[in-house]
Amino acid sequence: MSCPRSLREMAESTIEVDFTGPFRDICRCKNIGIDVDEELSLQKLIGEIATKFGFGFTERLGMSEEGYDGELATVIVNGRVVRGPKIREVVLRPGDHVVFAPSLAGGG
Amino acid sequence: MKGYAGKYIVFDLGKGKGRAEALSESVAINLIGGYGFGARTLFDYVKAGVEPYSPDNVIAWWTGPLAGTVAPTTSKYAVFAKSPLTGFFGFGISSGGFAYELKSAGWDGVVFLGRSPKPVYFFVDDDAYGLRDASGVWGKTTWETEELVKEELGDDAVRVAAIGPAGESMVRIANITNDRNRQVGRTGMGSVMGSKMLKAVAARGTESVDVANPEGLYQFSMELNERCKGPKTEKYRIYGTPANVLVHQKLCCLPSYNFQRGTFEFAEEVSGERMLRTHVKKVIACTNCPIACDHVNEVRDGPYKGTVASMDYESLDMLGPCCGVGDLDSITKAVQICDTMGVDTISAGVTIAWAMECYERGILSGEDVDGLDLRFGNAEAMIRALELLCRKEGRLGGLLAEGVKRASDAIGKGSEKYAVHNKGLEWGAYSMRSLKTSTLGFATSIRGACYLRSGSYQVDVKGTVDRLKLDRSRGKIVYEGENSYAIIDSLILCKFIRGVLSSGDMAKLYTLATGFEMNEKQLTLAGERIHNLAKCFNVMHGATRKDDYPPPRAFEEEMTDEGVRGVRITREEYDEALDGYYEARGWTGEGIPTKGKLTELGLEKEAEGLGVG
Repeated sequence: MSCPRSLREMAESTIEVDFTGPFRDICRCKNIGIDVDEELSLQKLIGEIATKFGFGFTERLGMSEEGYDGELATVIVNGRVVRGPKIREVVLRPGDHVVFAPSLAGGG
Repeated sequence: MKGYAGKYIVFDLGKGKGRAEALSESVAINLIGGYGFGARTLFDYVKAGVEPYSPDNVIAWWTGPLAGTVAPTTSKYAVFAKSPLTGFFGFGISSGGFAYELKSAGWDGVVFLGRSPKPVYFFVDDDAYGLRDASGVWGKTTWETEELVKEELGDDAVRVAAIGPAGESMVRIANITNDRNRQVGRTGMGSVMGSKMLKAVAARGTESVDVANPEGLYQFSMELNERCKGPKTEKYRIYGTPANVLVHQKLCCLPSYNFQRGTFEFAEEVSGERMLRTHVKKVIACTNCPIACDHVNEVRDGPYKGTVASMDYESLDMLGPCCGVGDLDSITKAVQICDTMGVDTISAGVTIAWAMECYERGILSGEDVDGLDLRFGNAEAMIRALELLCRKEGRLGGLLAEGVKRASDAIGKGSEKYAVHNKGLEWGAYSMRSLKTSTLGFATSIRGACYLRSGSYQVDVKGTVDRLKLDRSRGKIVYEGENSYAIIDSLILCKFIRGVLSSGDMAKLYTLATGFEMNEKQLTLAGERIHNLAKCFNVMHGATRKDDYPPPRAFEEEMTDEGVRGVRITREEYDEALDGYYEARGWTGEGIPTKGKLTELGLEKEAEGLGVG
C-alpha cells in the first residue's frame, strides 16, 4: 500500500481506493492503490486501511456489527452505493474502484 | 397560548394600516406553524386567477412554535406568496436571527396585503409596527440596505430581511436576504416584495417567549445540543455542504453543463475539500444553533480579491459545474453578486447554463446574448450575464430575468428541451437521471423542482434502493418524506438537525413548548394535512398530473458518463412511480386530492371549495 499514488500509476492488479472529506483528512491522501492477487473482501480492505491510517477510519465510517451507518458515510464500489448491512458481503477484485465519502448533506 | 406568540399582524400596504389577529388554538394544533400557516394563508387569501404581481396576491411571513425558544436550530422563518415563477404555491425558508427577533417582539407572523404606492419598509418593534419610507434605500443592495436600516433605526440588534435591486425590478428569481448570508431563496418571493414596493421587513423584540414547560424544554434542548456535537452533524460543521461535490462526482450525479453530464472534469478544483484550504475565511452559526454550517469564502488573490460570499453546495454547483466553470474565485464572485443584488443562486445558475447551451447550439445568437461569448466554462461571460440578469439590462438580462421556463418559452426553437425545471422552478444540484427517486420527489414537489420537500435523494445515495431504476414503491418513499419534511418546515427546524432528531423527538419538543399534547402519529398526520392543504392551493390554481413530470432531458437523453452510460428515465417507469405516489397519497390518477382524503384530514371545507369528488 502506498500513498499518495496517482491513478495512472495503478496497475491492473490493484484496487483503486479514493477518499473524500473526513476520510481524506484521516488518511492524509486522496487515493491509494492496493495490490491484490485475486480477491479481497471489502471488510478486509477496511481493516487494512484502518491498520495503516488509524482506527479513526472505522469510527468515522460508523462501523458496527451490522455494517456501517449510512448516516455518516457513503461507501461506493464501482459506482454503486454499498448499503450498510451489505458491506460485509462485498468481495473486491483487481480493477475495482472503491470510494469512501461522507454521507450527502442537503438541507438547511 | 404557550410557544406561540398567539397573534399575528395583517397589514394592508395600500392603506398603510394593519391589525392584530389572534391565532386560534385549532389552527395552531392542526397546522403547527411555518409551512402549515403559510398553506392556510395562501388558500384563504389568494383565489384562483390572482396574478402573482397583483395587489390581490399576499406575501406572508410566518415563524414556528419553537422560534425564540431555547430549542436548537429554530430561528427560522418562512415567506409565502403565489409564485411569479410557477404560478403555484411559492415559499422559501431562511435562518439567521430574524425569526428570533420577530417572535420575541410578540408576533407569530405578518401577512401583507395590497401594494404600497411608494417604496416602504416595515418595522416591528415589540408591540409597535408600521411602515417607514424606503426611498433612501431603494436601489441599494441587500447588504447596504441591512446596514442603512439598522443605522436609521439606531439599533444594531434589529434584524433586517431585504430585497436587492433584482427584487425591485421584479426579476422573477429574486430572493430575500437577511443577516447578509441567509436567504428566502426560491420561487421568487423577493420579486413579490418588489411588486408591492416593500423593500424590507425589520424586527426587534425584547420579550422572552413563554413556553409550557421551561425546565423540560431546556433540559431536552441541552441534550439535543450535545447530540449536535456528534459525528452526524460533522459534515455540516467542518466541511459544509460543498463536501457534496466529490460525493456527487463519484456517483455521477453532479450536474454539469446544464445537466448534460453527471461528472465534471474540474470537480477537485471546486470541491469542498479544496475550498476549505484555499477559500474558507470563517464559519458562522445562526442564532441558537450549535451546528454552525455557514462557510464564508474569501477570494485571496486575482481580479476578484476581497470578494466574500457564503458558499453552499447548491450555489457552488449551479454557478460552477452547471455552467462549466471550474474556478472557485469566479464562483465566489458570482454568489456574491446573487446575494447582494438579491437573486436565487440555483435559479440564476440554471438559467444561465440554459443560455450557454442554447448559445453553443446556435439557438441564441450573438445578438441575443448582447455580444457575450457565452460558452460553457467562460467564467467572465457568466458573471457578466449574471450582472445583466440582476438588473434586467440588455436583451440577455431581460430574457434571463424571467427564469428558465419563461425564457425558453419566449425563445422557442426547441430551447424548451434544454430548460431544466419543474413547474417553472429551476432544478437543484441533483442529477435527474442517476438519482431517480430524487427526481420523483423534485417533480411532485409542491413548489416545483426542489430537494427540500421530501429529501427523497437520501434513499438513492444511501443505497436503500437502486437509484438507477424507478418503480411504484418509490411513491410511498416520497410521500413519507414529504410528510416528515412538512413537519420540519412547520415547526420550523433546520433540516441539518434531522439526523439527530426523530419524529418522536419533534413531537416532544412541540409538547414541551406549547403544552398541547402531541404524539408522533398526530404530528405525522399534521404533516400530511399541511401537504394536502398546500396541494389544494395548487389544484385551485390549475395544477394537474402534467405538472408533476421532470423536464425532457430526463427522458430523451442518455447519460454519457462512464459508470452510468446509457442511463435515462423511461416514460413507463416514471408513470408507474407517479401512479404509486398518487396512490400512497390517496389522490386521483390526475393528482387531485379526493374528498375522502381531505375529509379524513379535517379539510372538508377545502374539498367543498375545490369541488372534488
